[in-house]
Amino acid sequence: MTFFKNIELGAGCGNFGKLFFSPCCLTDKNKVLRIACHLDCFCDAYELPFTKNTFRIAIICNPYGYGFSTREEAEILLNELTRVLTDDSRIIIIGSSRNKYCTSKRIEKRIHQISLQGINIRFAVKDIDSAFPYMDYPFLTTDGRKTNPNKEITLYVRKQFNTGYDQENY
Amino acid sequence: MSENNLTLAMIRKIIDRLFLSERLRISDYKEDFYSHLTSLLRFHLTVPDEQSHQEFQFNKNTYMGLEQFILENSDMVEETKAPDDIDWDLADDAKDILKDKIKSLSEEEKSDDLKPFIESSANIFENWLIYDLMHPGSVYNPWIPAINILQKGYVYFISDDKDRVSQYQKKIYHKTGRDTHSNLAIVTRGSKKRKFSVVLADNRHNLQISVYQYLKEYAPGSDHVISLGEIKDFLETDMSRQTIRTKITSPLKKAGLIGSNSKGFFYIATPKDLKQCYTAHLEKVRRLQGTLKIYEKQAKVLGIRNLGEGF
Repeated sequence: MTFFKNIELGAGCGNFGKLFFSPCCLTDKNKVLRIACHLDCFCDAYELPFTKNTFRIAIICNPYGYGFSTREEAEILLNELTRVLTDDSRIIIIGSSRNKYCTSKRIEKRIHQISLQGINIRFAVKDIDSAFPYMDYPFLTTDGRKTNPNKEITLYVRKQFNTGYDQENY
Repeated sequence: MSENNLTLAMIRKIIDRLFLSERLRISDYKEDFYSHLTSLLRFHLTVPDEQSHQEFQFNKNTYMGLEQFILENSDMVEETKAPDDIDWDLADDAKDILKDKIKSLSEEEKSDDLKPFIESSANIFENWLIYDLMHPGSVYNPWIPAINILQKGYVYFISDDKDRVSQYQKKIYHKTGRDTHSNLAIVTRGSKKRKFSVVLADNRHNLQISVYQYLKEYAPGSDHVISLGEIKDFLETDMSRQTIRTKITSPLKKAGLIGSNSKGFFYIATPKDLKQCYTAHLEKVRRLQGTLKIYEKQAKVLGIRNLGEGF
């Protein structure tokens, strides 16, 4: 797995991570997809089978059934993602503003609710418009229906907060 | 529901009225469960998508996919456009209040047994709320029948996991005698510890899709009706006509997907068809209103006040 620099969670049968964030490890929990899709690893987003500090970018497109719907699940997910991500890494979440698992307002709120030891997360959100490189990518729902995400949320992750890291210049 | 936006006080009132049923009676909630699935299916059939023409089977994956699709694309079937901002804090608060309420009603507050029921019920309540915040008072909200189940005193989860469902009712899959591996089941419980009831969905929704598409193609409008007998022949089924009516045509009619007259069923294709359906239902409502007025008069004679109270 060391070949991969990035990871996509819940990739389904898409190849978003490989198209835009290569070399990317495509993962999904649903083992039924083994037959039809080209996934690199079957795993639960809440329990990733990777060692710490493995990836630079984590990508989540249209999560449904996991994510930021409640404080508890957001805490588990962020704990796990920040464990496998390196210092100065990013979590990129692409989704609809109506998707309760990844709406930007909820993610921002959860980040303030959760305290991750030694981790600082900065939140940024952008509207997806024609300027985005993946504007024409066919995003799908969990059962393969076309859907149109309208937000890109980026969480900038910094680690080792208590070891001389200068917060003000961050 | 009113057409005003819901407030936390209004939601609290709804939740305050919730209770946990002392009895477990499938007939209390079975129709609401099927009605919820048909309401979801309505979006599958009416939203233009290449998938609506493919074979559809309700399982957990398609159920969640439809849920996501509906919440993200409800504007395609609603007259009103959803606001850009949804009050997510309100949804969070409502979920917390609901979870606390269910815990307070339960005998086993600290038990993990209750957790899947609480989480799922709160999730379904949230879906209903989000939809209502986007389209206040909409009759298309597919979670209205799902909320009815909660209001009848049942907390529940919906699953297609055979092993998981069997934990709550061991013989549910043996009883049916058919391959129901991917079919959805609803597992409910009321106030009693370790007492559950399960309904395993039959294949009526697949048949509803077939009949809807059949009528759309061969009965486009009230001048081209197809009789119940012809529908039975088309389905090549052993089901009685009454069963076809109960499981297939009536739910499609209730969802506003097809119409009917004395000669048979049809796909609503023109304003004339819709007017005919509307007028026929209006006539039924007027007849029912007449019956209600007679009962109200009888109530006065018998000295009953507030006849409808308590139901």
